[in-house]
Amino acid sequence: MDSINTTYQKELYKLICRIKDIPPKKISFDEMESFIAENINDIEYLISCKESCDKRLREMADVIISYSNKEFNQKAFISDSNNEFDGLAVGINMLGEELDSANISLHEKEVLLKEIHHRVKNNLQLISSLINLQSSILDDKEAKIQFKECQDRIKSMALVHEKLYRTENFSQINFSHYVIELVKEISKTYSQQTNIKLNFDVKPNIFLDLDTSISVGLIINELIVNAFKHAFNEKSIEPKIDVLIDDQQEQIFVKILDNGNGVKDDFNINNTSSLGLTIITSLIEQIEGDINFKSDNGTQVSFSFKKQTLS
Amino acid sequence: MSELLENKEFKTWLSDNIIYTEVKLNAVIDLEAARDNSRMVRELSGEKKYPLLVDLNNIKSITKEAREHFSMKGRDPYINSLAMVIKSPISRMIGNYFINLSSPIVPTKLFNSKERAIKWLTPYTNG
Repeated sequence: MDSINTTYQKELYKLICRIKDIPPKKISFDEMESFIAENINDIEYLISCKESCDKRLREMADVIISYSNKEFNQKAFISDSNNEFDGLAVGINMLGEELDSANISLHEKEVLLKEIHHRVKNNLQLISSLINLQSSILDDKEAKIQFKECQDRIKSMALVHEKLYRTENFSQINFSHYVIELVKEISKTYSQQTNIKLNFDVKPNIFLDLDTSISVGLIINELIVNAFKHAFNEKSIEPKIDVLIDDQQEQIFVKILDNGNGVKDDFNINNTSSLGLTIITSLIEQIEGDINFKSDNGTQVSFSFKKQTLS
Repeated sequence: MSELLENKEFKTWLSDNIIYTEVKLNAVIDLEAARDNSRMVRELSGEKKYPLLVDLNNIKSITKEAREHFSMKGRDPYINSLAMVIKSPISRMIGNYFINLSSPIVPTKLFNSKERAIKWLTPYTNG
């Protein structure tokens, strides 16, 4: 026991010498004890300093953690000592203010962007309604159809903007959701042909930017409208339209298949006067894609394009 | 040396064509204090634009609004250059934040010695 006490006293003696910056000497046990008793306050002071430092570091860590919860109003304590801890605390507080300001400005921009997409969508809807009104006074059945098709194209664009302001990401939309919604929306227009079954095999969570989504949406709109209008007749058995979308290595693959009449053998998309097909050709060029029409128990249209083709 | 202008946070005076501002011990600078400092600088400047030397060493903290005010953006700066003396841990932090994030519109530099700050400001004393 004595030996343990002696070792302990020796260590304590050496520690005090270190704190006081004096070289340890060979002294007797009694001298050592009286030296420790005289200087024990230094040890206590050192311990209290360490506790105080730990406490301040914990407090500053808590403030930094609160910033991760976007609670930027939290402030680190600054003492009157103007020591390194105070410098650190001031830095943390200023960082919080800067983050708060950047966060507010980001939020304002998001709100503004949301509002813009909302307004674009509303304006497109308004244009669509005006076309609807205009067509309602027409007697010519063919002209009415043309107006209706024009409305569908506008709606397909409006849907992209609606998708954008309903999501948290304003640069990209969930293209997979968009296509399903778009095709279902078009099918409502052709409700007299409700017996046409829609099948979707769409890879989930494919994201595309605004411009590509609008172009591809318009292409799909034309292809689906074509299928509804021309692929089937009264004699068609279990008519169906399949929509397949996949992505592989930054390339998106779209297939629109129907089990209808098919295209003529000499069909060439570049050699047609149809407005819908002209739109498709032009948009495929815009997205730098490839399109292929094939007749095989109906029409099979497939096209592919790179993600982010438009800048 | 000109008369000494003083408030709760600053002591400001003009000497040898340099305006000096010393932040008082443990001063907390908010927008009101910052504006008051600009008023004192303007009062000392009159029609002329002088360089300003700010001794930040005793500062305790400064609000973002005050830092933005001192950046002088969108207003007449009343000064042609700014040197800040930073030696204490807090002033070092504030000085660097100010110069990097608030980007003042006049030539600005940080120093840890008053003498070097004065030397740097001297070419600006001729207006």
